[in-house]
Amino acid sequence: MHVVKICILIWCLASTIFAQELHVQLTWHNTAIQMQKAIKTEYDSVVITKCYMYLQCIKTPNSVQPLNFKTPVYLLKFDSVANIQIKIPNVNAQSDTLTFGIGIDSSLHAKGIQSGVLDPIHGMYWTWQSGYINFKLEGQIKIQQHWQNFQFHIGGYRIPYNCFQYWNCFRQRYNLDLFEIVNPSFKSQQFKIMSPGIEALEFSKRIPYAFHNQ
Amino acid sequence: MHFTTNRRVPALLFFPFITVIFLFFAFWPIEDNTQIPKSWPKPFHKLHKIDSNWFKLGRMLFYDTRISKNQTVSCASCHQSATAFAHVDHPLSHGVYDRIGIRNAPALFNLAWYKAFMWDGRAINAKAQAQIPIEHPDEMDLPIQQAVSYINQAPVYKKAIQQCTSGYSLSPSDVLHALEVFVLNIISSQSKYDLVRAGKAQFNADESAGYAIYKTHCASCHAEPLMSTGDFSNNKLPLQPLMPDYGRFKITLHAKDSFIFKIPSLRNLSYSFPYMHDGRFSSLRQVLQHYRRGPGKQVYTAQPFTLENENQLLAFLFTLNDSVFVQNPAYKVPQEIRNQ
Repeated sequence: MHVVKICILIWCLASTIFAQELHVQLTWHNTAIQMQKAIKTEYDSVVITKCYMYLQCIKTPNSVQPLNFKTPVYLLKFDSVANIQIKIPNVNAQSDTLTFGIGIDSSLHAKGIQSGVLDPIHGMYWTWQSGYINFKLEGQIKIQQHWQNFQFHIGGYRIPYNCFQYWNCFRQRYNLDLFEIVNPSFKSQQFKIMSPGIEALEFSKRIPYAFHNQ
Repeated sequence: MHFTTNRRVPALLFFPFITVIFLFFAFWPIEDNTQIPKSWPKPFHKLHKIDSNWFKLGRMLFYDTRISKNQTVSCASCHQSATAFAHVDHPLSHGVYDRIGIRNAPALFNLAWYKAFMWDGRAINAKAQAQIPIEHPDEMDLPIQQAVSYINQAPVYKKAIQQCTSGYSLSPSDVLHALEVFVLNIISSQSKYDLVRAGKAQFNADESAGYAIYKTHCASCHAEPLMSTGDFSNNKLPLQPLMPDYGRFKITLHAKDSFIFKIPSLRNLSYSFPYMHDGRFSSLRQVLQHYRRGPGKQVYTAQPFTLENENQLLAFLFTLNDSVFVQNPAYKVPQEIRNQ
């Protein structure tokens, strides 16, 4: 029994010591964002007040089963700072990559309300019907000299509007360009999405492509 | 033989009496005082047992999206049991078709002790409080008659309707009564503060100091033990230019009611951010900063308030969080609705 406990302890220590860090920096037109402050680019001005997202560590491309990590779900909360580092498991293979799910997958939804980063206190839970919000982005954008609020709460785990998306992570440092995510919505005069549906699904599909190597 | 006969006669005489007593307690809606501390005042509204038929029906309705126009929004969409029935992290709540209201969804608990409901007191009884969001265009946007029709057609309600009314359909009044019973019986009374009042726990040094600060500066509006007088007040928040809200004035049309809003309870603040009627403050420190340096006439007129005082006050406020309440399974989504 002691041997088992020691092995578990060593495994926990090893996974902590050898864990890698994933850095994510929010950008707008490749300009680093400062939360709560107006960013002026040659195209527009924007204030990002809140950007939250769930990342769920799914698997490496070479493994069939989901990795059994101690904490498979991360909540990235950008509200006072626009860059975040999270400890991720070290897959320790040069050719290997981590695959993240952006959001909460349907199997985890089926377990209902949970604790930790999945506690509804984080404001990322709708109801038992709609489930968790996968990605939340709020702020203001200046359009024709007028500031316009925008609110995008993207989620939904039921077919055909399952907004859970996959992102293959090859490096440790990424920029997440929010402009690329929201610009198509702004072009169609859409400044809020707050429930599951086709708009949320289309929005969610753009998120993985907005991650760029630093 | 003689003794046996003597024992049977009194038992038979008492049988009808015992039966009457049993029926009285079985069917009479008596108060469920198990959660209510003895030191609390008497509630303004009648309380029911949380296993009563009306409570069960009200709980089903509270979680059912049928009572919204596009059948996507329920009362629980903006009032989640896990967050003290508030809409955490949402300054303004959502309605059908992604519509946004103009006010922050208030936390729901201990409402049986209040005479008026909603931020501006527009609901003068709990039935109106249930009806307004169902019919409000920015919330559920459904005429109550239509909502009742949807409920009566749903097989999941057949048993509950029969148990409550002995009939096969609900009237609008029945639906609102059921919601009223559920909402009025949401009770939060098991925080550390309550344990201290009951002599079952003690404040630490910071909490005690914070309690003293609270009593000096906050208790006149946020009175013990409910942590609100239930009255209305102007807390000198600056008007939002893009979303002007004149508060209770819109209801009474009295100039003195301009910018007057209901005083919320200080219980469960950790679960119910953001704060104020429009959710403008996302943290308690921002709230304290407002009361310390409010614009115009200062609300908070005490001596200089140090960071240590602020931390002590926060330590006390955190004792008002009721983790038993937010995890209470009696308030969560019922199986009948979940399994649909």
